[in-house]
Amino acid sequence: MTVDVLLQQFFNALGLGVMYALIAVGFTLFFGVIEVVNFAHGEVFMLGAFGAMVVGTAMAGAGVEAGSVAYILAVMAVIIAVGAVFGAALEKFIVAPMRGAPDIMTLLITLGASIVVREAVMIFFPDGRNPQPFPKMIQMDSFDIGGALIKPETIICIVISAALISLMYWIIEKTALGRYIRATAQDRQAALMMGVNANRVFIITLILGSVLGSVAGLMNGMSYGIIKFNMGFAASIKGFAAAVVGGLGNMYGAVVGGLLLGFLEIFVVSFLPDGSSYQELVAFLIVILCLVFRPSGLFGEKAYDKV
Amino acid sequence: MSENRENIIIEARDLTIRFGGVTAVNHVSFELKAGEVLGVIGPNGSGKTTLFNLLSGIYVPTEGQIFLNGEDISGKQSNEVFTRGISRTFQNGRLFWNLSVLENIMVGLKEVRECSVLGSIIGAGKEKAQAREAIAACLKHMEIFDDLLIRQADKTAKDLPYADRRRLEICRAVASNPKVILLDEPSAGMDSMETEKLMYDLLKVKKAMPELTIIVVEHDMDFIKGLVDKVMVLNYGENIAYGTFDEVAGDEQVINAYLGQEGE
Repeated sequence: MTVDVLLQQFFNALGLGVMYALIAVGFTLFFGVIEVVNFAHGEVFMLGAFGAMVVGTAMAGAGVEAGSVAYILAVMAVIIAVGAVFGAALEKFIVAPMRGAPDIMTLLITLGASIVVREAVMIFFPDGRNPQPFPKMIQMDSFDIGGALIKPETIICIVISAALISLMYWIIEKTALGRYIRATAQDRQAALMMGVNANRVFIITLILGSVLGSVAGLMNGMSYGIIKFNMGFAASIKGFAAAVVGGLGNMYGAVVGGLLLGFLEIFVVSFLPDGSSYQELVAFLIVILCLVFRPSGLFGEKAYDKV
Repeated sequence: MSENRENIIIEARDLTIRFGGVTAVNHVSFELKAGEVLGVIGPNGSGKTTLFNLLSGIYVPTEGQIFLNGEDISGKQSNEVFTRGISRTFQNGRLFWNLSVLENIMVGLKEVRECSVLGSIIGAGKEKAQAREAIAACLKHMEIFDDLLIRQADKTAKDLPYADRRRLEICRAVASNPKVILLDEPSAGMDSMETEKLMYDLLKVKKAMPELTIIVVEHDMDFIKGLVDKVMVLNYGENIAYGTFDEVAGDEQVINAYLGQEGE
């Protein structure tokens, strides 16, 4: 195997890994701060992709050139709006009414919400049952890195993810909002008693995590050029697996878990004969082994270390 | 109860809470002026911590009311009670273990809480200035505890020695400039020297914040005697005696219910 092929696969794995990481960070934030396993998270990934497709197609129809400032701003606005509205609606209609109920109820209701959203898109979106072509968001040539031709979409996804994950790190570690999020994650009642408005922290957390999921959906569309109403299911399983492997509740663990899963999948596809047939089988086998030997995840620690 | 009511900071009126058939706090009433210190004593299970949970908004009273500066705050959520001026510490220590000493204190600060979400994220000039002011305010309060907290300002709370954790909890509670502070067994788990130092620290808090009203639950009678103006004795959720330490210590009912148990 030559260096250029290795480099090609390295960038593919990185692109896939950061996408999983973005989804996993959402899962880990929801669990760490709100103590909710949100199985509807995959649907914001799907809705983000559909939102970007709709606005991209409309802009192209209106003659706005893909990759122009107006085009990118419009797509960004829709992606953020999809994440924010989804996160806020989730808190108001799904998570908040179930506060205090057994965890399994919340898990079930998010799973139910996930099915409702997915089926609604399939039924009500024009030709929603079938795969949808995703418009080209940028007009750039491939990058030649060490002889390997890397798609500009891959580089952009990696850069955006790195920026968003750094931004999340900065918000959580360095700002007053982050302090409230960490305090609420560690001891909700004590945070309330120090004046922290926990309900506000919950809704902001759901919005932040959902925007990350929505961006991941855009990346998926950009990378593969095709999206489908049921794309959120696999994404949520993989994002959740990445978060669990990293240690549910630990943000850095989620990033590492996402990258690990991305690299595993690409490794299996590239280096095993007929790898693409059992890319997910091998990846999840390793996830299972990881958890058997380290049930709390790679970075899972005591309760007070979460988030 | 009627003289000079305008000076009254906190008042509990017939405060009662029932859990099923158990009345944990039963028609408890008291009122305190600015700067007064009330000790709450009583056997285990007598309703002391439940009283604190009522005053700090964790529980909603079944009957009765709580007034802070004349405003009825009964039934308000804990964060609303806190922003109106009641802060507390916990019997078993409830710090944010993974946050630094300074961050623990900053969580409760009004100056920081009033920052907008976006302002907090982008660190706009106003928010930065507020954060700077908040840190200065924290340091001022930390000075009450000599240099013990200041020199450990960047340590995470879980790495602090036990006595300093309790100090940090008290510092965190007073840093928000509350009107009333509730101290739930502040000397629990401390040896006699540490307890003495803690009492000295609390006397310094009183001196630095003469308007602060303090309610303290404590089992150490020397601690109570050295710190409080009045004592309330709870037994089975009822207030069985109220007065100065000496008045209460001589009360036969109190001796039977609580003080008499010492040495048994």
